[in-house]
Amino acid sequence: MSNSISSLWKNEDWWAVWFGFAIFIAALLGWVPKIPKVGKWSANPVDAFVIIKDGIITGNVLVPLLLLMIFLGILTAIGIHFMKVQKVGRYLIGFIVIFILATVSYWIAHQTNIEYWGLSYAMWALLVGLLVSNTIGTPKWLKAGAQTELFIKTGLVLMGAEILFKKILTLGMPGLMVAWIVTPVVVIFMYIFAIRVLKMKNKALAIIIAAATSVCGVSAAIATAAAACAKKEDLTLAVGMTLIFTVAMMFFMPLGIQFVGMNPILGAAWMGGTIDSTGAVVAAGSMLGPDAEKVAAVVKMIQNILIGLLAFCVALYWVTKVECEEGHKPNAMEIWYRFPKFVIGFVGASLLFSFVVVPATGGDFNVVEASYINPVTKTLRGWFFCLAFASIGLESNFRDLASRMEGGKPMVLYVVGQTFNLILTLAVAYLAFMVLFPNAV
Amino acid sequence: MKFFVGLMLLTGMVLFFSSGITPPGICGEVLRHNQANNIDASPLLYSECDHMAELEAGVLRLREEARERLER
Repeated sequence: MSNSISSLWKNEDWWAVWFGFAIFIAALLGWVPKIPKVGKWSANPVDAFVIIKDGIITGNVLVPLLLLMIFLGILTAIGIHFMKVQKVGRYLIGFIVIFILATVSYWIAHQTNIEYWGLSYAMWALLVGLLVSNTIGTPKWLKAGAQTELFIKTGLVLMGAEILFKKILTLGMPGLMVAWIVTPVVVIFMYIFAIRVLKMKNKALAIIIAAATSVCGVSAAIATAAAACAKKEDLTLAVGMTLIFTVAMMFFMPLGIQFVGMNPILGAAWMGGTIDSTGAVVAAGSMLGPDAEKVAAVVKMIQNILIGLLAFCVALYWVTKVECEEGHKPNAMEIWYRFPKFVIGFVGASLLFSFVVVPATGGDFNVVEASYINPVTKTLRGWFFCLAFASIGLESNFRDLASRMEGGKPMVLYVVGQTFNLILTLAVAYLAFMVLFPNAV
Repeated sequence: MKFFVGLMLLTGMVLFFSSGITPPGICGEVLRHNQANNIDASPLLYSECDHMAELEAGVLRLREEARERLER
């Protein structure tokens, strides 16, 4: 009993929940100013750090970024102190360097031509970290700051605020059919295929790839990796694969759809259900016209909302089936004890914002997004994820990554799963938008 | 030495992708479309997309128009 009570301040899952909800409360009370971020730039790299209004430079974000680094450092150091995973001083030194690496990653990712390619901060943060760890090696003092799990879990709790359930009805029944029927089928198919057919030993990697392929790439990969207590290298592999295939699908799917003369709305729903990241979906949808862009983005958004449910199911399955001795049925207490608590924070945040905060502001999503999510929780979540990816890179090396490839099985899983996803999504999208609800949009 | 080679590779990647060069022919069509219409293809989650609210409102409008068409 005393163990379970002390886990409230000794377990990083709980700290992620405390941090997340402390930020929510502060944001809802209006105590948190707008969180700074690295801006967009095209020709002049300095533009990323200046604030331009009506063509005139009115300030810079360097001081706000420094304050953010101090705030995040102190906030997370409180958890580090109580969990006793690291000496606070050592952690803070490492944290400062990781924050700088994360800032560099954002700076690269926000160059406009790089944004057109769809190469997000997650990829650059990983690469920057991998560069250090695979060349000079990550020194111990730097590793002390790489608290990947804490960053990921806090980011996920914050992400809960962005997953607003009521949005699933935006496109009505056809949108729900494409996003919520196909997705669970593909996840289950891919997991069974990985374990039974490919005989993959690494079940965590199998479920991460399945989630990334069927739900929404990197975000779903992070959520399921944390829920399944996966190794960092598994997440790196899954994210690497999904980023490469997302760019390829963004480049070729709209061209294929135009080539065969497919109905743009059907094509948009197909791409929304299959291309992994939202940005790539919007870009590919836009190729088919403005209406297709809207439909594709909204199908993806409805699918995004599945992340919380998926993380919850994966965590429950892992606790009750995967990490359990064969034949042993864990009781409710055991399940609760082993269940990753940050998932409760993640789902709780989503429920809080969906069913309390949005109704309390008159049911207007836009008000909640403009007042609390966009200026505070979304930006902070991005920073936590960026810190996490830089940390993962710093803790991964190519030799470990290669050893997790199991003779290319993860790649086979991705290709087979994505092919199945493409076929099933097209069939269901056709049924939903062309046969059952042809006048939906 | 390894670090500098890696740094050069990473710098090379950044310079290539930030240069605005697009693959020739149909391979670069989407990229050229993104450049012409200033479309940020990097958001991972729907909430990261700058004009998501407009897209959602657009879908609601499309559904409304479809309903009106049916009633007529």
